[in-house]
Amino acid sequence: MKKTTILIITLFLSLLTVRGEEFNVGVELNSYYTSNIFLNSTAIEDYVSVISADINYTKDTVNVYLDADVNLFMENPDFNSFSVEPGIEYLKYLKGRNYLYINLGYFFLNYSEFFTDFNYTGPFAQVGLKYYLSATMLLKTGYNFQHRDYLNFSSFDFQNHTLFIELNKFFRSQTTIRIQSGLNYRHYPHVATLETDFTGNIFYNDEITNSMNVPNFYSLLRVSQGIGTRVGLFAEFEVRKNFRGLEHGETLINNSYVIYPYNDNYLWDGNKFTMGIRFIPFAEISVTGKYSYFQKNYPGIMVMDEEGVVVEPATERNDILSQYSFSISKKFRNIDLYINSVFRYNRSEDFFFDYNMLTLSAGIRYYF
Amino acid sequence: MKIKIFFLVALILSSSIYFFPKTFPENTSFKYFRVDKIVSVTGKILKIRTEKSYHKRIFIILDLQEKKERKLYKIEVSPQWFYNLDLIEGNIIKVKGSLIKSKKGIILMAQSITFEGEIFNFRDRNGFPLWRGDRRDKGMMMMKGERKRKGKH
Repeated sequence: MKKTTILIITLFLSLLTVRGEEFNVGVELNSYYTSNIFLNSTAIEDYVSVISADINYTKDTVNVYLDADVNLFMENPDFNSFSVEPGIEYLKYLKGRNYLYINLGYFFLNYSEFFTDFNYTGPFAQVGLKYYLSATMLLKTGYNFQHRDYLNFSSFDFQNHTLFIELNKFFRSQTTIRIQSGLNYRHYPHVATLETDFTGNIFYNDEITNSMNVPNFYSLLRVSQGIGTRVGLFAEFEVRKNFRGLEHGETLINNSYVIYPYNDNYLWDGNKFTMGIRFIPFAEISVTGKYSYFQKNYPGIMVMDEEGVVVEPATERNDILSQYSFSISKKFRNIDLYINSVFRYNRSEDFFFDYNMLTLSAGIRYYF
Repeated sequence: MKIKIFFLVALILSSSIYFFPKTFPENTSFKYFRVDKIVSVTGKILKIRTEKSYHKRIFIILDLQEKKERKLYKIEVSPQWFYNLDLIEGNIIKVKGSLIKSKKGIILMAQSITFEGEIFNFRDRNGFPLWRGDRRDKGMMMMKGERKRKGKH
């Protein structure tokens, strides 16, 4: 892990010396403190550093890139990870300001020893169209595909398909109304069955597997208002509906409490309301404040006790999450400096997911 | 302990990049951008159009009417692929850029555009075009993209 990390950084720094007009690189260093790295009641805190780098080779409307991220946890090094993503982007100009965007890539994620079950690789694709229907009406639509192959725990493997459509209507009063809807379809091809051996121990049988599908629909309405050039207000309401949840997906649920799917957008349904303000008080300093309120239901995921046994009578997990975030950023020459803070207040019927979290982060981003 | 040392080394290496000498490629448009001519103009967008410009690239052009004196400015923003603003005609924006007066009118080479509390940068402090630099935040990541964030649950 450490050797690989050093190798990536060395390789990246070496490439800086050969960059040319069509070859460019970016570096970002972000450090943050979080009072709860796993977003649950264990409330394990840590100091985390994320080093990101990307290398791009651009020719006309084609961009070939390689992104790399390293996540370093000061107190919990078992959770360290690195990821690499090679890919290609293509833009096809259409008439006016319209275009078609295509992105193809491959993703590798590797954790340290203790969390290697969550390592995955897999391809992804994005196709998007931006099209002005009129001078004040913008259409965005697209399709995203993702395949994940979990080499050490194949039950987690999945394919995800997302179709979305978005309409933006702009008004002279500097008001923008956005409506977006999307359909997600997640397919788990081989989830191991849960069985009990003759001693009473539970085990996962990879020989007998089930496939599972989790279709999900979402729709959101966003209204934003500009006040002069230095202030912007926005409010957004989102509804998510799962047509099916993780029913009979115990193998996924029992093994995923630490990382996955605690925060996966496709596995909860309910409502989300967000409101916020962006403003520039002085000297080109950008300030953003945001509040979000979630009502989350996790279909097929039951409330459990501390031993991981479903509490009777069985009820699905329901969470109420309030999230406050604040950020401030300033650009100096080619460097962006930023400070972010996020506070989460999550109340859940499942004790394990009843938690608070505070994150304070600071970062530096450099452009070449 | 080892991880702390490693982290420290990585931090120093990353930070040292800032001190690397920067070389500008030749024949780029940045040489026309004069830092001693930087002004800020607030006004209304009259028209958004495209125009073939440097190296036959398609540039986004904004025709802007200044708020107080109602002077007309031609704003040269960026190549089409880099432009990621959802502006419409009638929007009030603030443009910071290098002023060029010619027989054809007043041209402003945009360094940044401020709109609804957000600053969108197109050139750095020296006028160097950001579309020749990092694409992490802008440019092609204009749809659902944002490569950096996706798929990392």
